Amino acid sequence: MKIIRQSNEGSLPSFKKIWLIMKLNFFLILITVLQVSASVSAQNTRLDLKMQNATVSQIFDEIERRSDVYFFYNKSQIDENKTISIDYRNKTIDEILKNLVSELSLTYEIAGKNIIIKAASPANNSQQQDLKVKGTVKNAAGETLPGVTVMVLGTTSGTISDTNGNYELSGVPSNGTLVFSFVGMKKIEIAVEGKSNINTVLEEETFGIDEVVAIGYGTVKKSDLTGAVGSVKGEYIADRQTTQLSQALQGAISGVMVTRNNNAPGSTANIRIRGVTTIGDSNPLIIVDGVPVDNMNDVNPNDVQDISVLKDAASASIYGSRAASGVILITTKRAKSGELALNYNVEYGFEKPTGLPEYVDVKRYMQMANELRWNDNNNNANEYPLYPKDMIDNYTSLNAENPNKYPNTDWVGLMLNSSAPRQSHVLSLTAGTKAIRTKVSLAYDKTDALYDGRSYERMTARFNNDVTITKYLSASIDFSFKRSISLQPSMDPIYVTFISAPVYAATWADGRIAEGKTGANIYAQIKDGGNVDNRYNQVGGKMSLDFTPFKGFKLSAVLSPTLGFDKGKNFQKKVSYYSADDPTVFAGTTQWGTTTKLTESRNDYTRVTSQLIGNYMKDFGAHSLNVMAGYENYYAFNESMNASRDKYELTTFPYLNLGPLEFRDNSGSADENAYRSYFGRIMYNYQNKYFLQGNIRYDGSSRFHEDYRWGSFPSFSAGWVLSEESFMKNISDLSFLKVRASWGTLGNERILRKNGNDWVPAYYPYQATIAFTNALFFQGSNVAAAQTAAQTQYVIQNISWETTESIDFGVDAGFLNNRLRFTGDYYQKTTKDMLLALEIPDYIGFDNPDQNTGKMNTKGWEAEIGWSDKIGEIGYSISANISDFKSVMGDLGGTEFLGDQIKKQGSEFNEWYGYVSDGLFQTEADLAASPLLNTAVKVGDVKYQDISGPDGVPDGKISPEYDRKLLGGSLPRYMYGTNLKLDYKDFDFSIVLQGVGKITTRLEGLMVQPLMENWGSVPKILDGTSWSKYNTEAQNLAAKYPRLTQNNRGSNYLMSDYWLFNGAYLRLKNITLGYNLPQVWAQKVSLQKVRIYASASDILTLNKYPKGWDPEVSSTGYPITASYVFGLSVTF
Amino acid sequence: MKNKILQLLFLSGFIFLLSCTDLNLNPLSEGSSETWYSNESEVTMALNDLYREVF
Repeated sequence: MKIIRQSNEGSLPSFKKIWLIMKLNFFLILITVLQVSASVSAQNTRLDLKMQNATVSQIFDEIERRSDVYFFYNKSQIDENKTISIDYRNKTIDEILKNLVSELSLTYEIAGKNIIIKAASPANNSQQQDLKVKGTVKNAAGETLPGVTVMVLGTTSGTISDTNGNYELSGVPSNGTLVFSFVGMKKIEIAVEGKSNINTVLEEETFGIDEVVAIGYGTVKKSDLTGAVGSVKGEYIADRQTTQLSQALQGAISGVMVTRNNNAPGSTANIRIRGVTTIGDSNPLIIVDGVPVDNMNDVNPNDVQDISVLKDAASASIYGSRAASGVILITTKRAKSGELALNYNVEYGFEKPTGLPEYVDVKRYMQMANELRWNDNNNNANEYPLYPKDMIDNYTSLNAENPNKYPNTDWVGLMLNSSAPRQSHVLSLTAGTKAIRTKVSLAYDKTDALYDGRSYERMTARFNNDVTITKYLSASIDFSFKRSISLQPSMDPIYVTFISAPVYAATWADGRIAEGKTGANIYAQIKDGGNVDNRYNQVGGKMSLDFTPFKGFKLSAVLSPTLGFDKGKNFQKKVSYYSADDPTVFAGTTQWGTTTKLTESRNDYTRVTSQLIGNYMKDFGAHSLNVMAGYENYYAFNESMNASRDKYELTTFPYLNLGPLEFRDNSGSADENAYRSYFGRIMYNYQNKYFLQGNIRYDGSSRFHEDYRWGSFPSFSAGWVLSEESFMKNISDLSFLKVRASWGTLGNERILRKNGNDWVPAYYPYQATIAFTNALFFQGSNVAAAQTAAQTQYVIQNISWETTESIDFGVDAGFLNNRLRFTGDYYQKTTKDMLLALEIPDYIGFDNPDQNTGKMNTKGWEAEIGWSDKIGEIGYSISANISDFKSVMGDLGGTEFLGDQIKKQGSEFNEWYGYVSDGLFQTEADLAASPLLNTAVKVGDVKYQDISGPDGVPDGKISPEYDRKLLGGSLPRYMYGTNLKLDYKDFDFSIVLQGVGKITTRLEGLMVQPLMENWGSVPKILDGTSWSKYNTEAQNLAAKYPRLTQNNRGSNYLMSDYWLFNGAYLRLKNITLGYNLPQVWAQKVSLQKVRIYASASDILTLNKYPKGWDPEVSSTGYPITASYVFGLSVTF
Repeated sequence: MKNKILQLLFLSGFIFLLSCTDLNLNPLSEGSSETWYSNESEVTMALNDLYREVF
């Protein structure tokens, strides 16, 4: 309505009157839109009507009473007390009205069941020619749109489109403009220019300020938000072409950090919302269709309607206990009334590594290996300690003569294929009637790996049903199923493949597997070493009943169970190799395949969530109120079982029965936990200008002792829409401006405990376990063992919630009719009472127990900007987001987490911690005059600074206690993403970029070290760039890497700033080109829609990494791969 | 009105299914300080521990 109001302001004298009519008209159109499906031609009802000296209002009341039409008119325009006498027999309402209005010199319009009566305006007819305009309104998918409001700009005349999307509007000025609007669609204006037929296509409002977003236990218009909520549409997720949902979120929403370190088939990404919240588990809470789930990757990306991310405490505190690290709300697709479509989408493609490290060839390898040994022999007379000179010089011919003795193996080329195929199929059926709406989708994905023996397969099914039972009662019944099969060889070969030197043989000349480096033959291990087969099955259901006894009030009851059954079979086979010369002489087994062992595992789990939620919405004049209160119960149960047998004679029967009895083993365990929560929310706004919201959640967790288990987590937020204020209204370019502020607290009870080297969830942290051992007893003269039990750990009973307090200030703005949109936020989070193991006196005899003590802070900001418009037939939109945060450790009660990355008071979370380097030692004099870490340090090694000593001053020694310092954070800063979309006629095109502005990264391990494990290969980047005795002084001054050495490896590759660099990167994340077959063609073969597309992901990066290394890859992990996908989507 | 009451009853029946879970949960596959000493053999095992060789 705003456009019309602005364009009329000042030009019309009786503005107020028109405004009143327009408000009336708007209301009327709203009603007709809501009633569109029920609209029959009410005006064709036939009536007998006889009234003597009745007033106009009495006549209208009588017609309303006897038919189902409604009259609307403006009292100031019509003299409703004027009396007339009428007598109609068997006339339609239309005929009656025609007669009536001519007598009263009025006009009328019919919109569905509603009839609008107006004073006749002679001016309109005399000045310009009026047209009768008709046409059809469709959506982007080519489906007709019923119920679209079509209005003449600047007037009150309008209509709505019928069930076939057709409209017809008379009295349209030939120089006028038509405005087409529909809920959830972009409003468009089309100049009439004398045309009598205007067809148009309405597009869905993707980023609009009127967009509805999911918040905890409800939805809200984006413009009404008072907290920080990010959202992304399902199409955007599906366009990314990732198998796993978590990977699709990279760069999509500001404040959401998505990291991955490999791109193996089925691999997932790690998500952090607004930085790191706790030392323990900082994973966000995932809610799918209102129900908490363990893993967002259980949802197929194609099933996602939209995703909301609750970032600040005010939005997330409705999920209280588990929301400290943010909440991700996933809504799956559902059918709408009147829809009927069957869609099949098929994709084929392949994955290629974005980069693979290169290694020096066999001759250079031998030379550099010789140099390394020579360096370690104090550069004595023998410069060829390992490989004689003639052997190196003649290696090519030697290799040709006897490849068994002089092998030349390209390990990377042997192990890794150049590409891996992938495919995906999605079949979905959407059918909606007024009573039952069903959406069924079945999907199958398969991705192979770059090496043999690995693949990932997934089948998902989702059935979402909505049933309207009575006027007061409706239900939704959802069912989902997921099965994934992960097949892997006996071990991950990447690390060993990369470090294997070319001088070791993978196979003998006759094709049999060879020895490798004394048994380290990764080729043999992957080929014959067995496999690991894991199968994951999950069945989920949700039943909810909505009861609406009176308008504005809704009571919902939800029951949602999820059951999981996983099984694994790990069959490790003995891999033997035989002598090169004699195939019958057993020579040994590979390093990893020494015995044949089968381990089987079975896990199952149950999750049950039940909810009861009441919601009441009511407008009192300018005040509007939304109250929600609810109860939630959650129960989780896990059980696992393992069984194994070792030293199988045969390698062909992977079943437990066939293994030797003496080497069998088994284990089993179970745990459970539960929550109970009460929560409530009040949202209030005055004139859509001032917004207030308060939330509270009262949570009890089974992880804490009865007396300390309950915690309450309140939050408040407020918003002020400045653009609705009268003093802001005359800024014509500003369409929307809102400022927001919020405060709230959140809890975390996901406590971890150390199990070996892993951190696992602690379900009973306030209880000490009773450990079993054996003691020897005399039974008569015999010695017998008996089981003993004792508490061996000390726990503190009153441990309780970690709490995170957060504040957020934000601004949302829209300019130029909301074509330009901006959202910005600044926030601070403080976590306190983190559970840490504080020191207790040794004489107590127990390990240090966990206590609520640690503190940490996170500060950050984020911004999103978007622009969308149309130039002629080219529609385009561009959006960008950027965010930054810094997580700093507070008082940790005296504890420190030391290592290359540390957490101690005042440090960043996981900040680099090590020595400060001063380049390389270039001269003996420098070496003699400098403090050293150890006596093995020579010229060409890394030189460290002597920062301090026991007395607080440099002590002439490099020591770990005094000379290490904080070297900067290891977490990414300035994370950004951009998205450009273009559409022209039947083509669409999109580009997504994503990157990190600053990240301190360490070069380590096999990336920069020669001869890993003392037998490995030499990375090509070291050749010619390392400090060397063979170099000139100038070459050595320019050397990037220290001298080749094994003896002093420990000192050179220690954590120091020598190895740190800015790992910032910009990645071309995805590029997609799609083409919709023209509808006339598609319809000829009875198809609704046909789309073909090509998409490429991760194809290009700009970064400073050494050649062959991807900025996201872990040095020992599966490479990051670029994927190329071709797809076809057919809708019947 | 009668219809509404019936529907409310149906809903109440459904809500009845959503009964509370006990929050006093103890480890299922090992003994713990909250549940130990519940029978004779547990007490015996605890006493046996006094004879453990390495304390």
